[in-house]
Amino acid sequence: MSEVLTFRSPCAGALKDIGVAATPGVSVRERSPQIATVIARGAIADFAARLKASFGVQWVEGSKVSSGGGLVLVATGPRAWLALRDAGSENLATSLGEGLGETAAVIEQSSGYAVLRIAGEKARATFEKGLGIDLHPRAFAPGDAASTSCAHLNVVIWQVDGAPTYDVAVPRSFAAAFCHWLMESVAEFGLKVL
Amino acid sequence: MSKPMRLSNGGLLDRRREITFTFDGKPYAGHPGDTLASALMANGVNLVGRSFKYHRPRGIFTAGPEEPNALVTLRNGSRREPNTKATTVELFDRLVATSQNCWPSPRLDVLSVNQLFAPLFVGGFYYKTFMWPASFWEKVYEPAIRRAAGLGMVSRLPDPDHYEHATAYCDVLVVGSGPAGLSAALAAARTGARVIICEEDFRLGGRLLSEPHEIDSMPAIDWVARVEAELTSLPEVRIFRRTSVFGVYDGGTYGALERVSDHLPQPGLHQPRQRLWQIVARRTINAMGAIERPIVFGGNDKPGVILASALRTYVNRFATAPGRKIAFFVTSDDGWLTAQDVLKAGLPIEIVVDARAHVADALTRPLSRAGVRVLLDAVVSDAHGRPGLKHIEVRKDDKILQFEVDVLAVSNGYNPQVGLTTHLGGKPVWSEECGAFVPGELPPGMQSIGAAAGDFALAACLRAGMQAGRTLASDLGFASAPAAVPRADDEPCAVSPVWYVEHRGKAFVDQQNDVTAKDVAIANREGFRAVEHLKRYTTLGMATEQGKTSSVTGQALMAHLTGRTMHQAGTTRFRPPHVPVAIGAFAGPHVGKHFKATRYCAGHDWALENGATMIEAGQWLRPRWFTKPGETDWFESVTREVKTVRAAVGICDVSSLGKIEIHGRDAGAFLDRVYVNMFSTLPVGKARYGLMLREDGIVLDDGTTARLGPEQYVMSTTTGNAGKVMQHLEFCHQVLWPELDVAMASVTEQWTQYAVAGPKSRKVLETLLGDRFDVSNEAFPFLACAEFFWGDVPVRLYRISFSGELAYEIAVPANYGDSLIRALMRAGAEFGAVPYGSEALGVLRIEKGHVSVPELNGQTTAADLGLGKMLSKKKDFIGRVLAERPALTDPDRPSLVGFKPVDPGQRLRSGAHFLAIEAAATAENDEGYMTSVTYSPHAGCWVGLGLLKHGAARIGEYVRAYDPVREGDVEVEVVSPIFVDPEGKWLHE
Amino acid sequence: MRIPCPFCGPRDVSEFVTLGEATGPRPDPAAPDAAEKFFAYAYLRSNPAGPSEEHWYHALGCRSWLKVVRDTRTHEIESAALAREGAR
Repeated sequence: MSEVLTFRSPCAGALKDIGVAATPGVSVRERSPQIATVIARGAIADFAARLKASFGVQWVEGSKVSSGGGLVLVATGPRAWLALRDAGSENLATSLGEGLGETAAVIEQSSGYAVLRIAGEKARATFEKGLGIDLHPRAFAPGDAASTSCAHLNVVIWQVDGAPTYDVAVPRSFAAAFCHWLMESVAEFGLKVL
Repeated sequence: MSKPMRLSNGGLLDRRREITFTFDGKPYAGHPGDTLASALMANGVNLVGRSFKYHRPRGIFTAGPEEPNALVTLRNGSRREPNTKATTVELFDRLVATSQNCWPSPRLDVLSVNQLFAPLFVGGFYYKTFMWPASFWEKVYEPAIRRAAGLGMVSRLPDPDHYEHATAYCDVLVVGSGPAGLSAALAAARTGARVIICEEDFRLGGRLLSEPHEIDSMPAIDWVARVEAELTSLPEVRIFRRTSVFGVYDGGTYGALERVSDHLPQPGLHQPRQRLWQIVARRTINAMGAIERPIVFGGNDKPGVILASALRTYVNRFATAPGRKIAFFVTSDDGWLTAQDVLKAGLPIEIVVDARAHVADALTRPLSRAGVRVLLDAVVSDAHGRPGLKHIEVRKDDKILQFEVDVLAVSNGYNPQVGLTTHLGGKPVWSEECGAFVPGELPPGMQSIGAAAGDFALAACLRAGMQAGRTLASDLGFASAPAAVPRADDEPCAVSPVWYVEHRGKAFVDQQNDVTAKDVAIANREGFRAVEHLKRYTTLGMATEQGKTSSVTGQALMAHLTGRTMHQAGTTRFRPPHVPVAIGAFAGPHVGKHFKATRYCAGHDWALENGATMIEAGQWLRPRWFTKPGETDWFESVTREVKTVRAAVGICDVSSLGKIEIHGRDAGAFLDRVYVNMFSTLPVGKARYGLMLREDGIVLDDGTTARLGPEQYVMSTTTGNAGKVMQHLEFCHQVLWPELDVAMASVTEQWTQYAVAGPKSRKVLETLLGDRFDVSNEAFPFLACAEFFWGDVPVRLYRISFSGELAYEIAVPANYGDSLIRALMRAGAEFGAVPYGSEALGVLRIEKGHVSVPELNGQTTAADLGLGKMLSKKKDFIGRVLAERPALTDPDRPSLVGFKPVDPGQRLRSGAHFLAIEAAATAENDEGYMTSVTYSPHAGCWVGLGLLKHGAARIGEYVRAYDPVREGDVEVEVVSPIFVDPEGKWLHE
Repeated sequence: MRIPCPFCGPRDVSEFVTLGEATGPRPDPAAPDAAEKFFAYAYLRSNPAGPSEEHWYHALGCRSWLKVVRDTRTHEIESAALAREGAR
């Protein structure tokens, strides 16, 4: 039998443009990167050294994003990261496993999260209605990451640039609930789905 | 439209525009800038409702949220909102308001006959009167009281509006925008600190909107505009208008309610009605001001009696007054200032009565010069008139003088708004200097300034504001050059409060709850003297106003009666919310089916397309059964699904079960410590059933754990316990054994997993997988597991069975889950495969005697479930030591067995208790209970699992399954819990 | 209440799950008095009116177990540390 498994993203069909304003205050795009959970096993310094040597990524301590060469590691705990890389020929979990060796455990999560890129001048005003953390530029800047809750859903959020642009990773089964929250909260500002 | 009581000049109103509204069906008009109360007053409507208990006519007493009387029902239909304070309702076009608590109208109220029975309604009367017989309370007294007393009526319709929650952060939160708050906000904001200013009114300015002061040589109102403009221009300042801070919580967290659309006929597109803010502030300035106090004298609740500060607001801000013959009864300098303003507005004053013998000439002269009669060292003892004020009695040197007036403005000094300062337990302290309670110990990070701190004079407020704003910001590292304090005069504000005047008529302490001075005396006589007892015995200080105009007065009366000082008497504890907050605002967007987030499996859409009826399992939605065309009830569908699994093959979504991946050199050793059985010895490529205990020896969860690699396991948990088990494993690793090389992550979301169960399940997988993977019994025996690729897509295959059949579970990344179920059904078509839901899953597992949630109920041990042999003796594990306690190893403990009704036509019920056949139905004779039941298509009758005392030794006996709740009393036979394939041959075929 | 998670920074209490007083370390299961020790470990709490050492789990955050010293009278958090660092 020649069945082929086909891909369906977590937010498929869940997001729609909302146009009250001429220029929507917020845009959203569902990304479909490869994702893996990375957990340091021994000393973090060893992990950081392997990360640098194998991927050229300089590890940044704390609740931060470490990135380089298309690979992004978002800290989700003192010893854990969510690694993301745009889909390509090479399997992310496999290459991380090989590159990091004994210094980290790597667990495939490409289907585990919906990843949304949310940007625009009203992005902060929108997140204010769900997040309990402070996204003010003095408190949260590009490169900062937070594992937190948004309208009672656990999310990982990190800032990409000062536009501001944020990436949000939501556990897959909650994707519809998150999209519902987003559409409701962003409605007054307008939403453009990219 | 004519507005008989609107002054021809002045007021902060947009007189070019007129807006219309109705009150009790009659049309009226007002202007933008009016409140409902001021618009009613301008139209000559002063009688707006009836009181709570006695149905006495009541008017407008204040000009703010402290209003005890002017409660109206706003809007109609599903937006109807009772107990709205007319004094805080911003007038909007086509506003509809109705009076409350009176029928047919406030003027002619049938239930005012209650007044005749007033002696019955004294303090504590509910407690004393309706004691006997007990059954009368529910059936007679309470319904009657609820009809007669009480406030407005709710709509009983679903709220059509949307409410939001939001969180904001700031360095300095300023509560209140009077002179102290505005100058504090300005000083803090100029340092660059992040400032949020909350003002419950729709305009900034506080008392500056009502009082004709000069600041920096300009009218105060212009100064407000200038400050507002500067604040608006600063990027780090947020001004929240129509926002009440209602609660102080730990860690600098504040609750605030923003009335986004309350001033509109209905919310705009995509706008919430209200927004509930959680504000996290590093420092807070409480500049909420103060509330003027009434005086207790006879008839002090008559429409026309009004707080002097409120009259000043109505005259200056709203260009109206409740009458044309005005009297004052004051004990404070501030009352005289109001009298001067009233005079300036051209309104006639009959008399000013001051209880003090000496008042500064500067205060009295402008009045006496204008021909106003001034009486010092005198009091108003009684007010008369029905329904509104007609005349007052003034006592001077034991002589009673009568004056015909329709307005009596009362001024007795101010109570600083200390409410927020007490939410974390701080107690206000009595200040003789201010004649008021002032904040005591403050919540961390909070400072009270201005009138809220007992500092009433204008220049002092401005000074305190500038200083507090700058100091608090500088504490946080925001520095600025000192700026000049705005120049203003310190107006006189001496006061000698008089709490109580000898009188004849009914004298009210708490107008909202109809608590009189006599009620306070009764509470004293009957021993309810502590302020908290006084409150509960008399209801003084309860309901929407929460004692803002009454508490301190009541406490003063009690202090006087008991010979205590105000300090000794103390105040009641104020708790959030400081102002009423609708439940809808607390619920926010989490209503209806969004009360809790729903979790969807990747195969959800497919299931709906195929006739699934869904059920909630925790937050998940799972298919419960699939209805085929022609099937008319669930039982038919479920029975078909079960039979198909036993005879051919069925497919079930098991994605919601918890899946935790555990990696590391010590993963096996770690699992040995958290499971009762061994996992370090499990070969790679194999799976094993595992049982987990809590540290107290009770079963926590069970599931199958597979070893995919030397240092890689995948654990499964029950759907409901997935989060709890993850938390437990993290605890074991992080807290108990951090030295172990273990790394784990939940992969529940990552994998979509389907059980393929039944004698033809292998054929379905052979068809699906072809030569991608060999699923023959030889290559892939019972309890085997493997991971392989399907193109680029990883697939995990387990040969495990919950149903008792030859079965597999196949998992793919969830992004391919929808595709997998469609492919599986195509592959299964020729073998008669059907999807089955959680009901059939339950039937299959009960038939097989597998325990599940009803048995893992937080009360059972491994031995109770017949799993005692799994407890390894070779190692320690969580729960081992305490599982050996005598009570947990007592042979009398009920243990798991199966049950069948003796009469096969009878139905079993879970929850039924077991009794010996002849035993009486008493708790002493209880021998256990039924945990799970189902109709078994295999057995052709109902079967059950249950926990029975000495269960395993009683196979073949008969007991009663007694269910008094549903009137069940069924004789059952004790049987083995395994109803199908007891030798387990099918699993290995 | 806000808990200063050592990794995430101060967060609202709604992100955390409490396990109650930290009664560790887990007793030695091989000790002759293991039964009594485990009983105390599982059940006995000192319940102080004042600073109390407690285990909190940052469930909706970094999933760290924390050792938090909280004043039970004021909810003031004196300290919060990763449990794994002061383990046992």
